[in-house]
Amino acid sequence: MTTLARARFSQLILPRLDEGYRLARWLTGDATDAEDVMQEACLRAYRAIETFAEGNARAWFLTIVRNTGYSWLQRHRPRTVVFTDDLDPVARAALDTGGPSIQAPETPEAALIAHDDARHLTRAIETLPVPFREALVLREYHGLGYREIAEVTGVPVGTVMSRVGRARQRLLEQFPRDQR
Amino acid sequence: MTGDDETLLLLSAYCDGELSPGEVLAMERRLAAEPALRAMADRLRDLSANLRGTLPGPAAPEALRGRVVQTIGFVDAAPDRRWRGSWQALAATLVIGIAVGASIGGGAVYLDQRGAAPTMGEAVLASHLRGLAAPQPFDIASSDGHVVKPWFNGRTLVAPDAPDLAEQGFPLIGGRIDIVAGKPVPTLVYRRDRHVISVTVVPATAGLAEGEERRDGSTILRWSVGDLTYWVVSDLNTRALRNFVDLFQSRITRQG
Repeated sequence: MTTLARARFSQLILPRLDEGYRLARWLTGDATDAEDVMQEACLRAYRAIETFAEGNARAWFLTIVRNTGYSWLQRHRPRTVVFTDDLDPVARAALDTGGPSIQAPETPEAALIAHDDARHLTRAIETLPVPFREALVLREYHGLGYREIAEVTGVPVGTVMSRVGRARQRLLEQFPRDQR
Repeated sequence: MTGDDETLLLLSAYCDGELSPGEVLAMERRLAAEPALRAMADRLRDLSANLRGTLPGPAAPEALRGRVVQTIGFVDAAPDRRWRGSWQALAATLVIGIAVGASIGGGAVYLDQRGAAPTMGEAVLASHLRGLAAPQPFDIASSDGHVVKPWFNGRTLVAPDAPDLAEQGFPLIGGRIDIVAGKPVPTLVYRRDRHVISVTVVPATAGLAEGEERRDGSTILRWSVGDLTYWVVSDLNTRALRNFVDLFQSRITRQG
């Protein structure tokens, strides 16, 4: 039985380590932390692999990585993560519809690298609230459809559409119109 | 001014191809009428292009794979009758790759030394997965069918046509050689977003009809034209994969 589990693990999970790692990195914002999350996520996936029958192995694994990342954030950086499920309806609505905008802090460092598009963009992504950031990364990097993102993040499709849109809106706000 | 919130959300979903047909029509009508809206759509597309360049970031460190494998204790996996063949081979390939710490090139080698001949479907699937586990899923990277097809000449039994379906959303990204039933055969590699699609072309075997099966999250489709059988493997959803197959079939001419 364990041999079968290991075989399935090597087939389903190992080829997706890289992809999972990148999601974990965007969630935690740190390469070392992402490795910790991935270690734990892989162990969780391994333990659950017998229960995974058929279906979208990729979305299944990304869901595990995402949930592991969230519990990791909650344990280590409770203030950076907002659990939308814990919010009261008004605050949740504010988050899903934009709410008070969280702008990137205009530090001297930020000003220095303002001309470096890629780093500027990276910083801008890092300042997005976690639910927006994960929706954006799952869409633009992992190439998931809204329905798949809804499955992975456990929210309705309409919320996914709103989060992806808001994330883009906030990024565009940080790039002057005359730039690309 | 087109900056109102709802419009931006709709436009963003429109760029993702996530609107309903009715909403698409309405949006296209508005786009035709409002230059400012078109400019906003361009900005969204540029943003997406920039994001695709920025979001991947650095790859997972090689040590991570080793540590994960160690945690799972997969290295001392004993042979298992049911999966002998493909998984054994896949596992062996991966373990060797990890143990030696060498980056295995794209040269897909299907190890079939265990004697238990895997079915052709298993061999094709194992090659596909092996490709995903390697640094890149192809031996030759090219989006040009006129480069990929001749590259196979002399290397494999057949050199298949490699239609580019980039306009339909399935860009050709390269080709690789897989070993199926002991013979080198060509595999065309396509991409859909982050999904890799492998098209392996083998000499047709009698009695092998069209078919479709799902195995551990991958869909395998096959059909025959003349004396060739095409195997398509991907973890893309089945509907999109069938769409790919339809496009592919409509673009290939006969094979010799």
